[in-house]
Amino acid sequence: MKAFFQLLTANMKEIFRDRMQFWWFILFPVLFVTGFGVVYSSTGGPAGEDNGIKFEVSIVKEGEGAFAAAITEAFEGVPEFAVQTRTKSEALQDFATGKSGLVIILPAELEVLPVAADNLIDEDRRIEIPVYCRPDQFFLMYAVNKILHGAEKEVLGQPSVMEIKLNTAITHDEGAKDEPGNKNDAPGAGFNIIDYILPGILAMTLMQLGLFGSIRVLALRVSRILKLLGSTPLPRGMFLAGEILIRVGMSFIQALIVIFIGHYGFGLTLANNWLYIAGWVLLGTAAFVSMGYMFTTFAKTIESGNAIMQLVQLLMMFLSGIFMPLDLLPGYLQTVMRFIPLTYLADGMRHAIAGNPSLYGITTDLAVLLGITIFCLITTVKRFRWE
Amino acid sequence: MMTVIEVKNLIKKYGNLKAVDNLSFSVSKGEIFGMLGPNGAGKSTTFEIIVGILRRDSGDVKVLGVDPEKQPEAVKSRIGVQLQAAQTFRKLTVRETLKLFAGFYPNPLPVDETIAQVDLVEKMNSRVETRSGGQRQRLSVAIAMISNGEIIFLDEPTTGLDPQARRDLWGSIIELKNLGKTVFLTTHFMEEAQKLCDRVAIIDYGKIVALGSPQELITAHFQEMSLEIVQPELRNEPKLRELTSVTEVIELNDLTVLRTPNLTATIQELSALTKTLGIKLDDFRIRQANLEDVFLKLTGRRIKQ
Ligand SMILES: Nc1ncnc2c1ncn2[C@@H]1O[C@H](COP(=O)(O)OP(=O)(O)OP(=O)(O)O)[C@@H](O)[C@H]1O
Ligand SMILES: [Mg+2]
Repeated sequence: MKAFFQLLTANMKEIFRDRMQFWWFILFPVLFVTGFGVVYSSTGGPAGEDNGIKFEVSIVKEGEGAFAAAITEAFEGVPEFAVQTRTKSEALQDFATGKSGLVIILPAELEVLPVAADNLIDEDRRIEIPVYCRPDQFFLMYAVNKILHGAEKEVLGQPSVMEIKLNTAITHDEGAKDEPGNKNDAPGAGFNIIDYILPGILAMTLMQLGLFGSIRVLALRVSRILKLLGSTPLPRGMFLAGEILIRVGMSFIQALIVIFIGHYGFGLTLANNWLYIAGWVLLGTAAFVSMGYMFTTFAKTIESGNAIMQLVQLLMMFLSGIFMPLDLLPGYLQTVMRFIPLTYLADGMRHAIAGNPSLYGITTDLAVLLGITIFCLITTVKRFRWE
Repeated sequence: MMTVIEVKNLIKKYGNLKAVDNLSFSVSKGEIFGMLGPNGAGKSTTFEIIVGILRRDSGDVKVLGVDPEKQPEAVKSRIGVQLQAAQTFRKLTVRETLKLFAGFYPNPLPVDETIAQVDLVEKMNSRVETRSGGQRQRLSVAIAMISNGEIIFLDEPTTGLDPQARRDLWGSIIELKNLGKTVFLTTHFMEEAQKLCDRVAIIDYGKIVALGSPQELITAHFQEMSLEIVQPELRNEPKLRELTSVTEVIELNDLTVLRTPNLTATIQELSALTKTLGIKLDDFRIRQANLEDVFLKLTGRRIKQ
């Protein structure tokens, strides 16, 4: 055990005595969150403060019922939303001309939801909710998701019936004029988009830190330090545990710096307490650091390691849908996404930080991340060779 | 004598290349055993298989009675290893490095004692990255020593050292032997093998070409002495070949070598010859054959260059 701590300290000295590495370790999260903060947070004051800039939202209620009214009310409760109740054709007209950037159509059958909750789940019913959103305002979809699935969760206990059907333009058979919109409201200004963007980007960053941080073990291999350590009685597991612990610790601290500055500097809303958030961050970090180490066991050189990580990162970035609202992707991609680990980390982060209802269920997210961690750790220990 | 290393029919291939080609030898407790051979002979490959960090293709290896591939931990805690061209953590100091490695072994030597042993006391608190190549080399030998292992494995321990440092290190290695430890080393310095090793395996292309104590090897292959003539006047002199006591005349770049089983007779004949030629015989030396000559005789090549 003493040897383990000595190895840990030695590793830490090796990393932090490198001045460049040390400053980058601190500077990276600071620059990262400052960048997002400056670009995406409301220009004045903390989140939720009404600073006059509004997004036009049209809601179409196809039936008259309490549930649709409650949802409408929830939308009206968002200070940045200017909500109008319209008929379908009016709303689509406004969307087509660019007068409003977001249209939500609440179908009449929605009213059965609070009444027949159990039946709906048993029958595996889906209720489609058409939503029209301009591509430059996609970030609003996170709010839409949060409100709709939140309302659903309140009556059903889980978000499983509502299916948001996202459109970006009106097709001709819907009978509206397809005119270019006169977009006079600058997107983003005044609305604290950081709440909706940061958790996803943070998930992506945790993935990158995990994957690329593990490359160091390849540097140790190339300089033959690994071989030298391998000729001592130091057990492989102990060496790997030290390596992984340090990497997890480092990206954990970096992620917390991001959230901390995001919250206190740029008004990032935290839906949960710090301990809860830190738990999720830790699990996400563990999953991707272990994954990084697992992939290093397939590489012989730093270059090939980088190539593997780059490929994995690209696949996950594009297939996990963190850049786009889920609902916009075609069905087959949504199926693919379910096999991408980053999807669950992003979902978990949105849940933990922004309070979005989890799309796959918290238990699923946790199980997937924990499963990945365990699987990758076991594979790493099995495949790892000193030489 | 107790056998501490036993290698039988060891083979290791890299693709088509047989880096180690059917090696067999054993090392007894308390001896300094050397593997001498040119670059690429397969020394490091054999070395790393024995210490348990490289897998073999076939053959048997036992270190302290244990197969290092099957039970690496059992072997590694009882030996100390210096690897060729292995770096250590750059940002640690010399002392921190040795402390770290000492921590891996069940019964290490005191850190400061080992630092003194390799003459790094003044440099012990400076970072490894600021140390010269020779100082780093001594540090990596110190890592092997600090293990306090029963066998100390050194892969080209004196490469990169100046002559004085090399001699100092030979002293330390002999001290290890005096403490009852076995030393297994590789080298391509003939002098090192000859002065330091109790027994030497000369290897070439993965095969042992000769095995024994340096003196045994030399006397087995050379009953004759070499008389080297440096004087340019006698270069390519045909009459040298007519001397009855000389068995062989070899013309090298800058000298002429006469091989003889009877040195006195040759010197007498030679002085008679120079007298008739009207030359003064004044620049020659007598040399016993060394391991380099053994290698040259067995392989037709020199170990270095
Ligand atoms: N990982 C490897 N892959 C392919 N070939 C290798 C590998 N390691 C060694 N070899 C080859 O095996 C042969 C023996 O190499 P080895 O390192 O054992 O030689 P050596 O006797 O230690 O030489 P040196 O004096 O240069 O250290 C060489 O021809 C080398 O090119
Ligand atoms: Mg070698």
